[in-house]
Amino acid sequence: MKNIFLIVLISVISHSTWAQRYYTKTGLTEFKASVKAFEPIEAKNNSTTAVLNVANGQVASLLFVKAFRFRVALMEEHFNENYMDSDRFPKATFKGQLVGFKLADIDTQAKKYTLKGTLTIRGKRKDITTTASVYRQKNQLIVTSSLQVQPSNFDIKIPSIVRKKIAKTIQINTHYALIKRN
Amino acid sequence: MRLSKGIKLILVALILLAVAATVGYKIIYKPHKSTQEQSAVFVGNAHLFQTKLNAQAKQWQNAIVQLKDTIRQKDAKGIMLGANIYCQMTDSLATAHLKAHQVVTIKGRFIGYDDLLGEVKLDQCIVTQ
Repeated sequence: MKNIFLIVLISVISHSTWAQRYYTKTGLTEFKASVKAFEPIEAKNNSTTAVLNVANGQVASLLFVKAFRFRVALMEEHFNENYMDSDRFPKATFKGQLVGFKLADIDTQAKKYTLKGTLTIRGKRKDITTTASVYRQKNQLIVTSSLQVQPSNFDIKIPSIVRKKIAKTIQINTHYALIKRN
Repeated sequence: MRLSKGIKLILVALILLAVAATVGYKIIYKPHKSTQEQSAVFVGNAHLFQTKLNAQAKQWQNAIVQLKDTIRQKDAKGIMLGANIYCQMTDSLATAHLKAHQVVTIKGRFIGYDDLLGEVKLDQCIVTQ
């Protein structure tokens, strides 16, 4: 009897915890590192996983570096083999917080929040602070954000021969359409 | 018309340059290989693939696999095969006609294990039958 009670209690708690999470498996993360007059350097990753705990504003996201798609296949190959070493570091992750987030405040008008957290790329961590925008669209929560990083933050070595062609600051944009976890 | 030796040399050089530029362009701008064009290194069901991953995940990194299994769930951009293998389709309309509990064969690229959701993730997926 006691066991049954415990099992029911645990499943109720775990269900209610999950019920507070919104997520996506196909979020868009893109980056741009282009320099004017040179070949555009930009790629999109449409397989980003992001989870938002609406009870406390905690955010976690994960993407596979090899899922970044470039227009030019050779550029994608160089990105993975020469710069990101994606065989050794297949994932990039983010763990953070939307400061002051309250689900009750969210409606169809975008609300801005400070997004603080740690970005981990190539095994290197960097604390970042940026702004995220959240709004409701039908049954989804749309979370968008932008941030800028430098290759040196993550020990990404740019050979001097191509340094001029790659922007000193990399622009990262995210667009996640989150749905409630059942 | 008889061309001077100099002009002939210039013409040959220009033609060679044009050929080299074309070849160079074709190499540098070679298009991505589609999933269709690549052969699968694993063919089987979701459970068997999961077993292989549990034994040695690293060797399957970016491997093209072909899985035949039951659709557990569908969403706008992909399907869930077996217990926890998510297949993100290249063309989200490719699975529009399919329903949960149907058996389908998918070919796609294994990109990794998603710790956040506890799922195996495949992308660039196509329906092969």
